[in-house]
Amino acid sequence: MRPKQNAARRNLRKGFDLIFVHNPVLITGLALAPVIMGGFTVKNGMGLSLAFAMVTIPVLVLSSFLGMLPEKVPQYVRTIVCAVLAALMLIPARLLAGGIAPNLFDSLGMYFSMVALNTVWLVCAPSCQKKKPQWALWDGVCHSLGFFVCTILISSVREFLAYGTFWGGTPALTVKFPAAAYTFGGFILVGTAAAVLRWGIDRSKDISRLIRRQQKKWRLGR
Amino acid sequence: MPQFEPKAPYVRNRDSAFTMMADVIIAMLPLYFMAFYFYGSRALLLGLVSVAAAVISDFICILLEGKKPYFRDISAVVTGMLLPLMMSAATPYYVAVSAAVFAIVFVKHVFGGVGQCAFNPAAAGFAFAVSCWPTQVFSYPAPFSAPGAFGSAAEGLSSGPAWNLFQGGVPTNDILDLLLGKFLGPMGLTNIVVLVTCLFYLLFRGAISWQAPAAFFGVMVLTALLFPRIPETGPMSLVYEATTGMWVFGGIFLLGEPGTLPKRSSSRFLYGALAALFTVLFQRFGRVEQTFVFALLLTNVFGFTLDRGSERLLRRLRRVYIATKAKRSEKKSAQGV
Repeated sequence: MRPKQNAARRNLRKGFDLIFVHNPVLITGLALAPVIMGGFTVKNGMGLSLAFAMVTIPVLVLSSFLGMLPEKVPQYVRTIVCAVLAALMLIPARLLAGGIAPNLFDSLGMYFSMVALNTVWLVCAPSCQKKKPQWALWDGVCHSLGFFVCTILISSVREFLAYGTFWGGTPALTVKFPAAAYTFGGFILVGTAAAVLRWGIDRSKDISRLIRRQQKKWRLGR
Repeated sequence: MPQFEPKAPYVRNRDSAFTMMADVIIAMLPLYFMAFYFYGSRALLLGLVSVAAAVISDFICILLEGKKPYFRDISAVVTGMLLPLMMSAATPYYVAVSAAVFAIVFVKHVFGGVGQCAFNPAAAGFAFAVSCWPTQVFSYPAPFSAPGAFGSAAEGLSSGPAWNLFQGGVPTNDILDLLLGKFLGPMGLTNIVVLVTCLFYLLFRGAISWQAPAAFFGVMVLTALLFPRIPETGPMSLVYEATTGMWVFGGIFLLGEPGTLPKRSSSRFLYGALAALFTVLFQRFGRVEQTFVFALLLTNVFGFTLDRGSERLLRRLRRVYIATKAKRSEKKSAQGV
């Protein structure tokens, strides 16, 4: 029983790490293109996150089931099946995106469709073939949460700097920086966010190391 | 044992980075003086604000990197002084500050600091300002109109003869006014006579090398003479292009930036010619009236490649020369025997 409980705890921990410590966009650098090029307003960010979740979660669960197939089935066949499912999932994603904003799909243009072949499921699907479906689902949910957190943060900063608004509201800034809405501005902001996150992770590791050392000293002192 | 006798002018480290940057700052002072003469104290305040923003952001970045500030590194002052000279005297202060901070933080320090920049910081800062606020950067007050030193100076602005050239038209300004800098334009770029003097000063002091500017100006002059973009004769086209464009200023102060300039002399010629080619292409097909900075940023990408290419070519030529010399000496010795 103990090894199973440890494995479950490990998988849960890995999943939570995907939101911040191993964020797919800021730390591992996956799915950068939609965030940088399409995520310049909060509405766009929500649309992209929705499309990402609706594509990635089913594809990772499917890849877990595809892992149960005999080894004779070549890898490229499994990848093609996953890609077909990803493309099909864009249809309900588009319908739901209309609920966020009527012309969201049009404003995102090709970046909405690019989410279908995002690098997150392309990289993670082979490893999910060795996992059980519930853990593949957990991976998909955590990847989607990590993407959502990053995209909303970046797109809200970009919209505020470029247009002075949040969710298309009343402009609150008199001085605006239109470059934040451009691609190079997106690159700079994502790079800065990645640097700040890595710095925070390193500092938190230092602090936890200090705390553990202090606790050891106290235990020895007793 | 002979005693070492030092000779006049007793200057040590003549070509140190500090002296070179100081020479560039000294060369920019007459431009600021002319800007003050034409536009009043706002021109000087823009320069001060830009320099302050550049120096403060440089200082903060150095502290964040865990390094000790080195007060003889005045590259931030140079960048801060260069930026407002390329802008209108009526540019809002936040534009100059944003451009300076962008240049120092995202172009200088992200790539490793002074001497290790992949792109010219001042050119990138100006390109950032043009991308964000093209109207504020390219709207000019008339000379002697003295825009207000504080607050907004957005009244009475219009585009200059560079805009006419960009549209394919002929500027209507008097030639003498163009040569004396009495026309609407960026506050540091209109005084062609002062700019040429600055060029000679910098060349004499050795603060810039002559190869890249020589190739750059050669190609630009030839292009203006032989392929004018306006319905005018070659010499007149050259006068209009040289007095209203940013390329004269850029060729003197931006092209020779030591961090981005190739190290070999042969590469510098190619670098200058390439920068001129890109400038001409951007002038013909670009979307803004002053395009030199974009051409320079594109040329910066090729600096290292030009050095490596010319190094390989020279090594090959040297090998061929050595092999030919060896064959000749073998022949001579065989004949001698």
